[in-house]
Amino acid sequence: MDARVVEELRAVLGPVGVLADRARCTTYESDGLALARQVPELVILPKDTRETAAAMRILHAHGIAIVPRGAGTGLSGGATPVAGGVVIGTARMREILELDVVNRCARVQAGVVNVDLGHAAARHGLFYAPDPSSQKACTIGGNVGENSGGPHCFRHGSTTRHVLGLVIVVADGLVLDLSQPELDPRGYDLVGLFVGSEGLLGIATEITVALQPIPPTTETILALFRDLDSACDAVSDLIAARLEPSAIEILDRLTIEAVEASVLAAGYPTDAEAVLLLETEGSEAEVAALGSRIEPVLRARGAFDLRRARDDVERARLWAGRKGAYGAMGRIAPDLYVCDAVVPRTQLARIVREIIVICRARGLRIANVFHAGDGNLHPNIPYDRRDADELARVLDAGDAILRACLAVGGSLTGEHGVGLEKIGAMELAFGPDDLAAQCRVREAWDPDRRMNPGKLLPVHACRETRTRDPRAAPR
Amino acid sequence: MSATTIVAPRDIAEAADAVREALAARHVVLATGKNSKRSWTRVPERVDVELSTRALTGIVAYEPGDGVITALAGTPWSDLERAVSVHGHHLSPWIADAEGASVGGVVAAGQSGADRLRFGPVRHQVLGLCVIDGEGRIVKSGGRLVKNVTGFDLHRLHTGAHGTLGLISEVSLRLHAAPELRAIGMAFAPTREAALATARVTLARSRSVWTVLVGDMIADEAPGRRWAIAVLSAGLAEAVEADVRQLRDVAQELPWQIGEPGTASETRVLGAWRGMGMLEGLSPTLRVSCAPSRLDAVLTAFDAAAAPSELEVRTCIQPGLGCFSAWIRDVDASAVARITTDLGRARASVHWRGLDDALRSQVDLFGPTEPAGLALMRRLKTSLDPRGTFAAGRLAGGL
Repeated sequence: MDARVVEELRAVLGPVGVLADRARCTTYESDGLALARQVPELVILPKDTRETAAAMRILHAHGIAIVPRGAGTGLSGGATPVAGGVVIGTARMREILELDVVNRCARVQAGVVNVDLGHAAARHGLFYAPDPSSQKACTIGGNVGENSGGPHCFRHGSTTRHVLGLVIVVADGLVLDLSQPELDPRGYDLVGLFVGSEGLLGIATEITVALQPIPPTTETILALFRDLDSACDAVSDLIAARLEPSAIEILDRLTIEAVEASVLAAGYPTDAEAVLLLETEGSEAEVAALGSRIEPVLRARGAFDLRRARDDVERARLWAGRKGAYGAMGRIAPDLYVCDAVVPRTQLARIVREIIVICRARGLRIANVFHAGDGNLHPNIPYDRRDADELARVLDAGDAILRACLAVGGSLTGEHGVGLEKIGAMELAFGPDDLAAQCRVREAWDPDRRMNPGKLLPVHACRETRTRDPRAAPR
Repeated sequence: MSATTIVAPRDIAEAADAVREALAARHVVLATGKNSKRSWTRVPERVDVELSTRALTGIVAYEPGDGVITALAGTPWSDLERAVSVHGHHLSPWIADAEGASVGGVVAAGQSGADRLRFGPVRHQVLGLCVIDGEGRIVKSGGRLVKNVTGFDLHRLHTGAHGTLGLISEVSLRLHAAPELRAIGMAFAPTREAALATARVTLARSRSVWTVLVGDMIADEAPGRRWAIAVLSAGLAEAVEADVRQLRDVAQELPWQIGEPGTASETRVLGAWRGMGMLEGLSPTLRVSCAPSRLDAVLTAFDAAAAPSELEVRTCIQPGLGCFSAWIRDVDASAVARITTDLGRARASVHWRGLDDALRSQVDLFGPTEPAGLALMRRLKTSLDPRGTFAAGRLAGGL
């Protein structure tokens, strides 16, 4: 990195805001997709919107690529650095700027950790609904970039349904203040477009999110099944019966064994081939009514036991096990390939069977733990990256799984994003005109395509757009 | 094509052909559905061709077990409502004029319904779109899945864009569980303040409320008690019954009517609900929104702004959302400008709907837009419609 650039950035951000030595930059070489690594030449850590904008103006003047990063928990390589580029981290933007109890919203800096917002809201009887498994580390800014989900998004929806406003710094350092709370956008829905744009349109520095009242009653149910198929079919039946718990999660036997052998042992039964973890919430009457309708559906599909959490401690333990499942799988193998795909909810049992066949045919094990209610699959393949042959089989299985999901009307990703990992599959999901439209939208925000290059959108699709678009004069 | 040409393609390919033909002839296209919300935007600068979705109808896919429906844009909203209700689904937004609205029109206009408090705005219901862009290309985004983060959410850009970025040709929507029971309750109060206070207690106590309205629509039915509070609770039977018990404590006089879907009692409930009005059928209306905590201040600002012209006004307030609609008889350009300016100062958003063509040509229907955001919106318009095929000048900032 040009020393002048570093000096200019230090003048704006101070020494604490600029990391240039290789040892410290190595910390940022990858996100949760550890297969992709690139040590950044420079990491900058602005503390607010003003510093972010000033830094981005400098980077714009020098034509330097920018990779936004929250906590680096993303699983699709969205925060993998690019050669010659700068990583802008939000680690110093950790302030909850306003918690408005009356209007049930919070304005936070991008680097606020998801669970910290949850704790702050809980003190006022409120909660923030999106709850990714990484919520103890991931940031609200990262959640906005990825349109993150989580178990309770089954009822409450992904991040995009909870973002009320944003302050965004775009590639040239211009600040877009879209934070005024409005029921409907004036003009086009820039906030809606930005959420889930994976850092290609700019950096959100402040986020206003909706909070909701903590329901008076919550019930957590564990339903035990003798086979995974029946658990999947039970979920399809619940959806068909239009029953709406707040979460419907599936854990299979290998996952249960990993969790129960770990420090997060949740009391999941090891005699079940699969369990459904369900939660219902609402008034006491609503929870009782919903429970009474759900139980026969589960029994009809062969649930041989239904266990209800007796208190908040047991409930928390059941969820800690679920959310810690990825970490627990470290006991099975040194590495874990976490797939993320979505299928129509009528296809759950069929696609899970197919995924098992795909993995077995390649000599791989498979652990399933996923947001079944949304049709959001997370087949997890334990492997050892030092084994080149096994790694190749894992990647091949991942590709086959995506293709199988697309073949039944599914999509590439439900919450982890496209990033670097699935960029090559975008042309399986979209046609040339669809991708060209996305590229044109990107260029409206960032004509030089310096924001997070090489992610989400296949590069040649953008090139095609640039040669096709004659920029004819408007009438 | 003459200046008044109306084109009504029967399928998506024909619609794309029509846009390409217009492009070749350098005609400006106005995308329309059933024309029920044409007066929600300014009069366009120029229109050569009206590209109507009225023949682009039909449900493309509805698998009840998936809870998603996909339909061509011209399909009447009421057709979808009927189709999904058979399988126990509720289609949001719950709008008053479902017969007169098309699927594409509801989405293009960003129209929300009486169930917004429970299910959110229409942009949260749209899972995917197929759009004909300004170059006549067929572009899809999202899909027919309740959860999906693949690619940019271009459908969010088109929702509420009134067809200025392209013609919405196909829509996929999320469905919800139809309520087992619906109940409405009404009470009356002598002042707006008293009615709002009751409404807020109701909102705080209810768990299954879909809507709480405060309106001065039914003055004739309760002489001397001008303001009405209407509550709609819906959901699982036991939950609604519990709500009714709770809310009877709030306002003893709430004459609750409870109905099961598909029965005469339900018809009675819905009839009573529609009687509340939501200013149904009245035009023009001004829609105002703000932070819920600022609602009282914004209502006061509105009163003050409307007072100099001695305008006849009726309002329908949704305190849970922080918004209200006002019907204003015989409003003129100066009153529109004054009210828009004063409400802007009170940090409220406005949207004038239903003004006549002459007024819509001269007044600002939306209030000011953040300049940097507006510049970006203009670049987005140029990106998706580089040659200005779709009529501009209709939205905020001349978009």
